[in-house]
Amino acid sequence: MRRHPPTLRALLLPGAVVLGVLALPWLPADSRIYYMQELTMGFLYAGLAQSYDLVGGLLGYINLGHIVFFGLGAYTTGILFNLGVPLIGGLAASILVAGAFAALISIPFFRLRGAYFSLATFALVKLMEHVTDNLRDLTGGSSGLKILAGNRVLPMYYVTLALLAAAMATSWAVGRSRLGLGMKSIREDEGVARDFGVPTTRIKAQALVISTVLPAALGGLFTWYINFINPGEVFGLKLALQPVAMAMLGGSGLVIGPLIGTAFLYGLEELIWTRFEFLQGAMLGLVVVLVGLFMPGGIARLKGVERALERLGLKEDDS
Amino acid sequence: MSAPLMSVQGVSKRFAGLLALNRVEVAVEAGRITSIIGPNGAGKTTLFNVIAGDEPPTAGTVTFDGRTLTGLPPDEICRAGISRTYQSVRPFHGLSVRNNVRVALLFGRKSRPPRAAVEEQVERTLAFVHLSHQSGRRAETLTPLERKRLELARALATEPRLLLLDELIGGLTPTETQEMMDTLRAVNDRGITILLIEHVMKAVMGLSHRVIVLHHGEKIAEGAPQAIARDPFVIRAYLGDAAERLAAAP
Amino acid sequence: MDLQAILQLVINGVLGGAVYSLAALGLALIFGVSGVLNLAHGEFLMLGGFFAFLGYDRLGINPFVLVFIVPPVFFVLGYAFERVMIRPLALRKEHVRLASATLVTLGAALIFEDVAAFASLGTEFDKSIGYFIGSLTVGTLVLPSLKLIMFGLVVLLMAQLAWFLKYTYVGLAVQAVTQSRRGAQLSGVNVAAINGIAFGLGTFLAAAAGALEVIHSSVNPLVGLPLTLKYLCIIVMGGLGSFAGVTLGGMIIGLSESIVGYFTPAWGQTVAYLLLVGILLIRPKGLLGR
Repeated sequence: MRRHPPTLRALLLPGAVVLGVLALPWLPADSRIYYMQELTMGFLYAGLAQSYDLVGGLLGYINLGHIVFFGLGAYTTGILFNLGVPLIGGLAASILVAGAFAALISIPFFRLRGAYFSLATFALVKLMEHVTDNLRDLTGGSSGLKILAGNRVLPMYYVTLALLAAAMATSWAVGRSRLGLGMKSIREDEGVARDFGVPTTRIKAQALVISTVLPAALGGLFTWYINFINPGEVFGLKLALQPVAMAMLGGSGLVIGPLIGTAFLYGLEELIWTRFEFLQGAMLGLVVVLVGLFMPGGIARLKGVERALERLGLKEDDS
Repeated sequence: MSAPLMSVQGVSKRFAGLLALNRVEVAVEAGRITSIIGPNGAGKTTLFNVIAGDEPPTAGTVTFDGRTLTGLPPDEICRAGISRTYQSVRPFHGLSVRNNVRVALLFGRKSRPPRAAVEEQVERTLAFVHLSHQSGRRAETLTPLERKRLELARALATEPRLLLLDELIGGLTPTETQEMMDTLRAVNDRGITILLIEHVMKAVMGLSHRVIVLHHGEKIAEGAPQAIARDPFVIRAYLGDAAERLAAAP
Repeated sequence: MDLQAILQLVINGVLGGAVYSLAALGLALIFGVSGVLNLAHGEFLMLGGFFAFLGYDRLGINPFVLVFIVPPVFFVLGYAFERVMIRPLALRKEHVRLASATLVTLGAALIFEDVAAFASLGTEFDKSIGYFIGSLTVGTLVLPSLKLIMFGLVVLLMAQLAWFLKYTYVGLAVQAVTQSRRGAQLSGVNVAAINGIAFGLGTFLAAAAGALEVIHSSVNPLVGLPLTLKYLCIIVMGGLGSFAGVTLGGMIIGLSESIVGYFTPAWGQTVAYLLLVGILLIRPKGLLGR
């Protein structure tokens, strides 16, 4: 199938959206701060979903512990900030800590397969929550960690947006690379991949470490932005499952998938939240059920959506 | 006679209560086509798994080109020059035909091919097995025959010196069988040594220089195809009254 | 530490572990047969407890009788759940089917949790029967009769399960499907129906655990998901596909929580997760897994 570059007309709507997002802070709307904050969180969630999908979608290992790297980043930056280390240094340290942790756990954890792997990584989240809780002297325990407040809405908005773009670019680049091909072969049939020369242990470790850079940075920035974190939040159930749900809902394994899933789920959440007083959780649950029943490949793989995305040049060949 | 390209020495494999292979000795000459036959459960695929590194043997060694392979991981054995196909065909289902070959090409060779040459080599391999027109399709959409061709293409992409083919011909029509046999002869003509497991006697007799017979995990006979067809041991264990048909086979 | 205190710890741990095992076995059954990780499992325990509470509170039925009345109702509910939510997914490719089923059960769990919270807003959050039976005195030790009776009930239920699996046609079919779905199908087993029965049975056990839990402890609407996670830990620890392993896992968790919780309350709840990660790293297929 010949791939034609997207026509100018097709790019009009997405182009307008991107421009609107970039220009938001400068628009003369009264509620723009509110929307900036909302979108910032949206960019954050999307970034988490995107980085999750490197391992979840490309490698095929459902890593329910992805948020561990976010939490590690959040606390590393927070602790260092309180010791006088500037943000940049804190973020660099966060990335290093998360990456080292990933390299460490990859050997034992990747010996597990399928459901075992997912559960072990999920248990890791809970474990980190408890450990952080109990290391009171270092982390402030359940009362949380506070850092010096500041109005960081504007920079946070653009930084998270930039990181999201970087995450998507990374997914795209890895997907086309030799590493990406190795990852996909492992996803399809790990035993056969090994038989054809794929160094599975090394590739899995590389994939995991790469996937930790973004959540670690986002975690550090989150602390800087919110000024207060606690274990229950950064190692929480909701934050752990959300990126996974968003990636799967949007279309796991496709570059644009996690973004679509985040936009859909986050948008829905905000819509439901403002409309209904009760039973919001139930409605969210209903959405998740409907997704499971009707959209196995995610929104991006629905017939009509798929075609539209291809026309826009937003859907790559994932075979 | 020169030293064998690959030799299996005293290999045994035990699974819990079952002794799948019992001190098997196999020597494969370079450049030849050797067949392994035997009733179901004889241990043929297990032998392949041991050679390819998917299963460690309980005892014994596998030597290839002067190098000991036992204990090496499968990916290293592949890069050493041995590749295989599977009894129940196992392509990378969700990947395109082209990518199936590309994985083997990029990871399975002793040394990575230069970037510029990759696409051209993928195309050449696909052309050899007549799959060029299917290159963009997902492997799971292929017909059984096409999947077998893909199995072969993928195995060839690693530039192997020894090819392990597990029942590649089984289940094909007579025309397809003849076609596959011609393809395999062409592969062998390139200097690639072939070790094949087969039940289709026409292929065994028509292709092999040498036949090895396994039964209950033991080698019970070895020799030229015609001699094996007449061996009473083999006949009793496996061929039954198909022996007459074999004696008359071309 | 005196003997009485040790005994208390052990009994609490064993009972806690037994109830965990009961519910976890239900989940293992569902997983073994259908391959689905039923994330709504803990919700059924919670609902079973709720129903039992209502039966005691509003209708004055004896709690122990409720342990026999409530679960069968949930067998039907579990079967219906599978029919409506899981069966439609059967025709999909395997890994897609499992991912979809996970989403579906997760969504269902969220719905159950929220509806239960909404429905119980009028009364207190925690529901507990807080039944009291006098204790037995053996020598110098005081035995909590309530807990002993409950333990006996759990053992009874597990024995019934074991008998069912070994000596009835359906039970054998369940075992067959767990070991090899294809093989069972080829042997003439109606796998679709067995999937439904497994769900029904699993839910039966969860509800039984809930009904028991509400007698000596309590249930609240939010307890479902964390419990499900704990069961998953137990199952994976014990090894998917090994019922003995699941029981062992449940007992280990129960005892560890009780003992560790006594000495360092902060780490009491962490035990389950530590053990899970630890055991899996040493034995990637779980304690007794195949």
